[in-house]
Formats: sequence, C-alpha cells, structure tokens
Amino acid sequence: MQTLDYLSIWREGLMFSRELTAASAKPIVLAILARGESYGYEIIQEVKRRSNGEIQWAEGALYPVLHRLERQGLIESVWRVSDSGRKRKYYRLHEAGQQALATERKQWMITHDVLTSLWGPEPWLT
Amino acid sequence: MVNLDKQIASWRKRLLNDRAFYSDEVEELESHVRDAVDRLVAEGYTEQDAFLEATRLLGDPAMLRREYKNSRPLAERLFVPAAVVAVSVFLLPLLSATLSGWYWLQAVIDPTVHYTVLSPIGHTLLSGIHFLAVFVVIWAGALRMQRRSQRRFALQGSALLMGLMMAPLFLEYTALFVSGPQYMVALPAIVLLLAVFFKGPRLMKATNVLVGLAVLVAAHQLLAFGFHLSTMVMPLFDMLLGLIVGRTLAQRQMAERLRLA
Repeated sequence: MQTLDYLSIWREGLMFSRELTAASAKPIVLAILARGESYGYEIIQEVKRRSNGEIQWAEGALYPVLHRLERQGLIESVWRVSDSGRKRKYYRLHEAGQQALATERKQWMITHDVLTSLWGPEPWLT
Repeated sequence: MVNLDKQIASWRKRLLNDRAFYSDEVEELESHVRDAVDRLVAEGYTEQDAFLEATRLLGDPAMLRREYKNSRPLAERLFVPAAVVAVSVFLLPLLSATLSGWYWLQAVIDPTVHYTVLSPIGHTLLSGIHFLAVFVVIWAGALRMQRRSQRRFALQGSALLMGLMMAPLFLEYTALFVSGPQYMVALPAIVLLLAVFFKGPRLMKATNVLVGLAVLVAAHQLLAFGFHLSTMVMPLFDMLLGLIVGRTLAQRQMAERLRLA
C-alpha cells in the first residue's frame, strides 16, 4: 500500500522539492504543536493525514528539524512513558514558538494570496 | 517479538556505532520505529516486513546521517577539528628546544621564528603547518560569527586578527621586512582570507586575489621607498591597506554574486 503511494507520487511528478520541504517543515511542525504536545511519529501521521498522503517526509529527517527548533527555543521536549508503556519524547510549543508561528503564518498567507490572485480559481471550479 | 527485539537491537547498535547519532537520538528513533511497526502489524504486515518497512520510511541512512549532522550547532561540528588545531598550535613550538617562558608564548602566534634550529626543510614544513593552524583557528572563529549574521564584522575582525598575529613577526624582522619573505607571507593571507570568504565566480576570485596582491605590494613599496616611512610603522599601513583592499574586493564579489542570483 505504502509503496504504491510512493510510486504514484513519483509518477505524477508531485515530489516536493528539497527547498520547499525544508521551508514548510517549520510552520507545519509549529502549527501541529500549537494544537497540543505531540511526538515525532504522531506529527508525521498528522501531516500525512492532513495532506491526504501527498506530503511524505523521510520520517527520520523530522527529528533534526525538531531538535533545531528546540535549540532555537521555539519548542521544548520531555521524555515520558506513554500509556502503552513506551518511552517517548514529547514536544510542546514555547511562547517564542507562538510568536514564530504567527510570523510564519503571516508570510505564508501573503505568499498564498499572491499565488491565488495570479492563478485565479482552479479551472475545474469555474 | 523476540525476533523483532533482536532486529531492533542490532539496528540500534549500528546507529550507535556511527558517531553521527547521540544515544538519546537513537532512543527517539527506536521509539518511532516501534510505533511504526505496531501500526504496520495492525495493518496486516508480518513483524519482519513491518520492521523493514518502518526503517525504509525513516529514509536513506546516508541522508539521515547528513541531516542530523547538519542540524548540529557549528561550534559542536567544529569542536574536534578546532580542538586538534588549537592544541597543536600550542604544542608545535615545543618542538624547538630553544624556547622558554614568554618567548614560547610569543612563538605560539608567530609561525616562523622558532623553528630556525631545525634543518631548512623541517623549518619550512613546520612553519607551514603552524601558519595553516593559526589560519584555521581564525577562520573557525569567523565562521561562528557568520552564523549570527555578523558576517561583515567577522570578515573585518578576522582580517584584523590575522594582521595582529602577524605583527610580531613583522617587528621581529624589521630589517628584513621591507623586502623580506615574511611580508610576502602575511599579505596574501589577509587578501586571500577576505576574497575567498564570499562566493563568486572562480575566475573572479583568482583575479581579485592577484589584483589585490599587486595593489598591496605596489602601495607598500611606494610608502616604504617613495616616502621613506619607518619600517616600524609599515606593518600598520600594510594591515590597513589589506583591510581596505580586501573589503573592496569582497564587496565586488558580493555584488557579482547578487547579480548572478
């Protein structure tokens, strides 16, 4: 199943560029953590679910992103044993992270607005 | 389950043997893999296949290694090489038996004076290594500042430091200085340091370094012989010239880079 997903993404040429993936990872992670604390695996599942499987990160690469955000003081982490008895590292948004998220949001909305006004409504909606 | 634990244990061991990952990072990845395996098994995978799929989804190991390494602070990444260089800078002068006390300290920043007791080849070799070591220390320091987007400051600061480190060398050899070989070592270093800092077309960089050197040598000769300036103040003029020329060239390269981009 999963392998097929990958293949279909390759075939339709929908692979996100490295740059776009790197740039969008920060606001996506911050926005997910703004909804409550979470851990790596859950964050990835959330991204998959919300993008209908279109965004497929190399899962391990999420952790360096989380560690960098933590070092920047935007999020903080704590090791805890989950209900299922598994040790997990939970991440949670810091106050500075809230502000960073607001800035990101503004910038992405501006970009989005510009692209929308240039492209117009999607052809199949007209 | 026993089999899975065994597989995960050997996978974890592989990661730990690779110095790119810290132990708590491996633990975090293991927790991730176990979550993924649980889910895949629930979807109907066998344990064996689930483990293979979970580690495949983590991403290409070489890529992962790179991402982890790149996410480290620069100071952390440079710690080992910087420590080796820093220690060797202080130990190298010990190779000369004639050094003691304050002269030893002075020798730490002066790459050429103290190896004269050795054979000419040994002297040249050690001086070269020492000079490179001093260069790397300054360069690493400048890079750290660059990270805090103080690039311009780092540029000028490192050039100044380089000049200051070379100053004792100049003063030591004031008699030789005006036309001596030491002078020919220090100025290229300053210009190169400045010119290679910024990305630019390779040909432009090479031209810049040559032009910078020509300007500096000409200005130096003019000041020293044309105006008969004292050899004691010439190092200061050379440093100043190095800064001005180097900065101009760096700005030119920066502009070229922006134009290309």
